Amino acid sequence: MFDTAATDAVARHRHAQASAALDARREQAIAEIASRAGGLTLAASLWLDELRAAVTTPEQAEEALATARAAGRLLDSGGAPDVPWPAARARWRQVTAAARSETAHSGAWDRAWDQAAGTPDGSAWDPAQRGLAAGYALMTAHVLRRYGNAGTPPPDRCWATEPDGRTLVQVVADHLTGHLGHSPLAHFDDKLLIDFARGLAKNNRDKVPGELQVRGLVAAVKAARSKTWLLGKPLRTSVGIVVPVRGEARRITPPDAQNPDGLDALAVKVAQLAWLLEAWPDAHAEILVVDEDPDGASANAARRFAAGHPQVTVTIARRHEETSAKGGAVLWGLAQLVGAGHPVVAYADLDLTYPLDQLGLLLAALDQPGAGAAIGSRRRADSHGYYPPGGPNPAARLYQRAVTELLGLPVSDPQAGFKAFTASALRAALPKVTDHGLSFDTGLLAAVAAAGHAVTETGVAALHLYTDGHPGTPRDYDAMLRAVCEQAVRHGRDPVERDTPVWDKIQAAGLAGAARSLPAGVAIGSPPS
Amino acid sequence: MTAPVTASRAAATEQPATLLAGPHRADTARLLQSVLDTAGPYEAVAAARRLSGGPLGHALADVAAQRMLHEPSGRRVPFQELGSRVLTPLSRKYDLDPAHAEALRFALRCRFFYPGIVGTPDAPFALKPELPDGYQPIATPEQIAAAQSKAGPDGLNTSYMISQMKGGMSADFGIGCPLMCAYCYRREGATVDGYLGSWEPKGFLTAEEVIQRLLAHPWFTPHVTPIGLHMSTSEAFLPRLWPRTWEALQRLDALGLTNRVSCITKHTLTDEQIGQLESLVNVDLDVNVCYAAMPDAVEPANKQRRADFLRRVLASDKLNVLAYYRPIAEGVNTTDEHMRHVWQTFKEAGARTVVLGGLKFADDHARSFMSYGLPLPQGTFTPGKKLLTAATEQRSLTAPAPATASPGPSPHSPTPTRRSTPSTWPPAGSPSPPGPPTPVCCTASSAPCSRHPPSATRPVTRSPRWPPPAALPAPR
Repeated sequence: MFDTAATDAVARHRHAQASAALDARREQAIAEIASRAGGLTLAASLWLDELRAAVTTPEQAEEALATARAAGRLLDSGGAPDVPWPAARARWRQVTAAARSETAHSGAWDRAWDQAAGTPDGSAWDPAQRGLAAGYALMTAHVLRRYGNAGTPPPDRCWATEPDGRTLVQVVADHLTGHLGHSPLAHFDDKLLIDFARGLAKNNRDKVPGELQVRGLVAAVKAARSKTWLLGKPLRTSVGIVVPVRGEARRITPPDAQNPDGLDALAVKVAQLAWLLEAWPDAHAEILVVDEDPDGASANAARRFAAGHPQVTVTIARRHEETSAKGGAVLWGLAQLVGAGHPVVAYADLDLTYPLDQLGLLLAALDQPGAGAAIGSRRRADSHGYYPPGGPNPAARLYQRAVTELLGLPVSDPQAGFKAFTASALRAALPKVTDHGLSFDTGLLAAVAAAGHAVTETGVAALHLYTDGHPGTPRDYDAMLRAVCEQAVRHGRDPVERDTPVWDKIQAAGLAGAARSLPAGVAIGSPPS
Repeated sequence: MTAPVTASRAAATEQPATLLAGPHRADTARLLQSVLDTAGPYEAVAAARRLSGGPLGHALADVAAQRMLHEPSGRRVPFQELGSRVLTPLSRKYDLDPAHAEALRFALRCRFFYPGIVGTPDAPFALKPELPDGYQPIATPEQIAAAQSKAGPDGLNTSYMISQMKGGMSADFGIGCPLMCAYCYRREGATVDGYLGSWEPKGFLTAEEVIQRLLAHPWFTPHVTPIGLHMSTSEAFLPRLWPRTWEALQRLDALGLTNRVSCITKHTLTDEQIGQLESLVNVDLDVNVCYAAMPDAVEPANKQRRADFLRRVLASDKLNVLAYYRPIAEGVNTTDEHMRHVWQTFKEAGARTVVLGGLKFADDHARSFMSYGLPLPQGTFTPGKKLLTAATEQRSLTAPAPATASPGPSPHSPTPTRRSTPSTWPPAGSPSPPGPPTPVCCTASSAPCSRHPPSATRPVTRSPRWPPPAALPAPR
């Protein structure tokens, strides 16, 4: 017995010693990897965490230590560590993917980082703030160089369609995940980071049209948080994304003299998704473009301009349905992708308002216990970019309140064109959704909730050109609300049998009339936490 | 407004004539205070001299002949400085035995008024055994104690507005300051104390109300307790608040109070307003001007106007003026260039004494700094404590001199001392010492600064008329 106890004690001691050596080597290993990965450190630190967690014996600890010591050489040679732990090997693939990423290695970033050590007043940026300051400077310089001080270029064109701007968002986002061990994401929530970006613009007194540099920086913050979540969840998985289109050939086509409003939208979506999936080298995504226009022009354009990528498949389908207004295309596409075996399925509008590099935010929201649907909200405190400072117009706000009341959906943005679902929630919900019009969103969300799944929200950074004081996209909210009311009846929430003061008021005055009496400061309903 | 609390003049005429300790002391005090006049204490000194003889009488004669109860500028020697500036020299000069030295101390204490509910000449730190006829305090000690028990962690009493703070009483007229310093702990919005403030000063009490509240407070001792005006919630010299500040100072002065009253400011006054402050006779006023080369985005108040105000107010031979080198926020205003600039500014303004102080910073401040797009100060902050590391303090004292200007403080000459003992303060109007400004530390630690001498150590006796001590929360 004494011999056994002594053996265990010796083993524990050796293990502790070996682990301690691995811990002691950690910073150096991260630095060696970072020096080969443009300064990026998150993947390296997750890999070392995995190594540390995998070892259970002193011998394994020594093997892990040897691997950590060889990290730099392995990256140089393109090799992979020969360790017996699959999770650690998967993490190493993330390390190599990060090191090979084009957006990791940026001389412009390196210069901006160096210059962002302090402010013009002589104050020093906190290391957690420095990446934000560097990103802000890069984006300000880019906008001024590209557009000067004139006009207000659309943010989707600046930060998505144009390759230089899109790449810059990704460069900044990559480094916000962790540069030389520093990241703001672990210290501050997105609401605070959005405020910080605005504060920087105010303090610097930069005259940038449309505050495009703030829009770009916030988009980078969101993309960084999206990628950070994916890096932390090394799953061999897949995700499907439905993109409904109707008469959008010009948006799919790249901009040129004949098509100045072209967005190159499908190629951009693939590029955004491809950047994000660098964090998941073993994952795959499928974009299903569903053209519901009888002429098929959008589908033809998509076939012409869809870009390929090893991790992203683009499938183009035509499906004409007389009574559909977006809803039919989305619901059909969702069912197809669930049938194809994707455990998570999303849909996104074709325009570039919702960057697909923020898909990780929705996946993170879906990762909460019980969640079946996640909305990329434009209306939360941590949302940015879709609405002018005053928020949505009164009619849109009243519509949201009526939806909450009629369907029992306490969400801020039921109509957002960027949502994700678990396959299990869709299997339960899709058969119950009959609305194929513009109100299909609320019907689908209500069906998901009725099936016992939680509907969650996350704030996104939208790339959208709003005009202060402009009422926004005209919608027939009254018709949509009538459809929502029918959905409520189908889900056993007949407003005749319940107290529905908002709905009653709208019925009496029409939505526009009721909205006129809406107090200016009315708050959007709080989403569930 | 409350009349000064004095003994009945009628009773004074029948009292035995001696200053020495004994059962007749209270009557003697009433006798001497019956001839006290805010215009001048020397008639009462003469009355005391008539009650004494020998060395004690000679000492009192010196007091009157040399006008020892006044500074050269004409202002009263504060109660707190009697010992060092009058009693000790005279006791030594006339070789007074302890009993006569104590009698001299008593006689001179009779030169002061004791308005409010605390203090008499024979028990200047105690609650009055009985209040003067007709005086009705604005609140009972029980009510005040109950209000104070709800104060936040920093002691700020947001209902009664007279707060026992770390180093004295803060008399706050209201809440709100438009200067928008990012590090302010009374800034707009809910703070860590759950305290809702506003940038705009509004709903402020009148000066009369504030003085009444002060006098009714059982922890306010006339002539002893340091007072801060607007110190916790606003800024004394804001144009909107100046009339109240000035009226409060006048009222304190008219009551014959010699408490130290401090105004810490990032604002300015006109020469005319400075002249008004110079006219105060009794109140021991400190004007403390903050200047720390803080970036405008952190501290928007105009620095150039502040430096100019510091120069103008330092030229006064009647005002105590401190240059407040604070807050020093690690990483925000701590480069050599920042430090050189501050010392050069102080030197050019003619500052004699500089108070160094760190920054109090908490999680909600971090949120504010982030939301304003400002660089976060560095270091490890302890809740409720200011942070100024020894290394930064030392660096600030040895900041290299600017290339084209005369040097700041010599690395050898300044010896950081704490101005918690009033006697170390040069009397207003005394000539400036040669050489650079003398730094005084008001640092992070719990060490009190000149504005915050420990007041809780004073002896307090309580009359049976008041609730037993256990019923009152201990001063913070």
